[in-house]
Amino acid sequence: MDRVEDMLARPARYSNIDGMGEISVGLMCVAAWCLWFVAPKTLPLWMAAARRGAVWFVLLGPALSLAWVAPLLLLVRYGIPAFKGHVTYRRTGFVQYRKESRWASTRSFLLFEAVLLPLLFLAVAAAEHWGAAVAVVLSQCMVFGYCQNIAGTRWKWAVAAAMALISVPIALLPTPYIASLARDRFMDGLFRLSFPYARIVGAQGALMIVSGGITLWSYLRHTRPAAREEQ
Amino acid sequence: MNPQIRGIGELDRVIHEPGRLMIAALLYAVEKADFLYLLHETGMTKGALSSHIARLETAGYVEVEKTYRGKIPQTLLRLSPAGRAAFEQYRRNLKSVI
Repeated sequence: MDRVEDMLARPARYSNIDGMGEISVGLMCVAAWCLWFVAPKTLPLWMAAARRGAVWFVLLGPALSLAWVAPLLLLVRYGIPAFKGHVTYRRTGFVQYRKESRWASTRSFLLFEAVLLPLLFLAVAAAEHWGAAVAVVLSQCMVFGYCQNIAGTRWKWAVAAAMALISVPIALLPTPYIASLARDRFMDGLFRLSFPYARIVGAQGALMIVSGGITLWSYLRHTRPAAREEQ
Repeated sequence: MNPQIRGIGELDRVIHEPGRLMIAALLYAVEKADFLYLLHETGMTKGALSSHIARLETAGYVEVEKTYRGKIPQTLLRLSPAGRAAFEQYRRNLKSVI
């Protein structure tokens, strides 16, 4: 019976057999972190422009962010399926997933969030460095998603554990001080929450890229394109 | 006779064969998959896999679709509604007798 259950779980693990799932999510995370990495320099300029009423400059920020993220989104939307079509499906076969299996993982995620949210509020109330505490709790969503969708082998579970553990020291790193933001309590609070979170997400993304890269290397090394009649 | 032992006799013999059980379990978890994927996941030879698929197709459990991916021929397989129901029933029966 266990063997049957294992066979039922295998197709879900197949989606990341080439590591592309991890690499694409990791790329998006690192790209998001890059946007926040320049924030301490760009945010004061953006706020000053907003106060002056320079609309074109205010719009420039989101436009540049979009110009940075859009190629990555296109890469994930079209590049990954193209890679799968030309490499993965020719080596180890094609699979089309059932829609209901995605709903099952979404349901688990929502359940996880329902447990997480009260903890989040407790962290906000109790922790002195509340921004860091909330960032750590929020970053565990990424780890949960990773465990649900990607972690299938022992060493991937080690990657998941590393993703969870690195969030704490990274969150405790000092957040850059932006003098112009300090005057605006809401914006300052938002920055103190989002900066450590983005930093953790960036580190987790880098881990996923490395882990996905190892999987891809191993996949390409151990498989070869099948003969035409096999497909 | 013990009802649990009698349950073993009620297991669907088409699905119960290990090779076909593997195919049914893999197809149950997906919408459809191609021949190459099943070949890779089950580790069977092409001949053995073809013969098991033919048996499942004859029983009405699997639907086979011949198509092309670009210029490469592709055999897509999916579990039919009858196959899905039979596999679910098989799992229930197996759980009850173990």
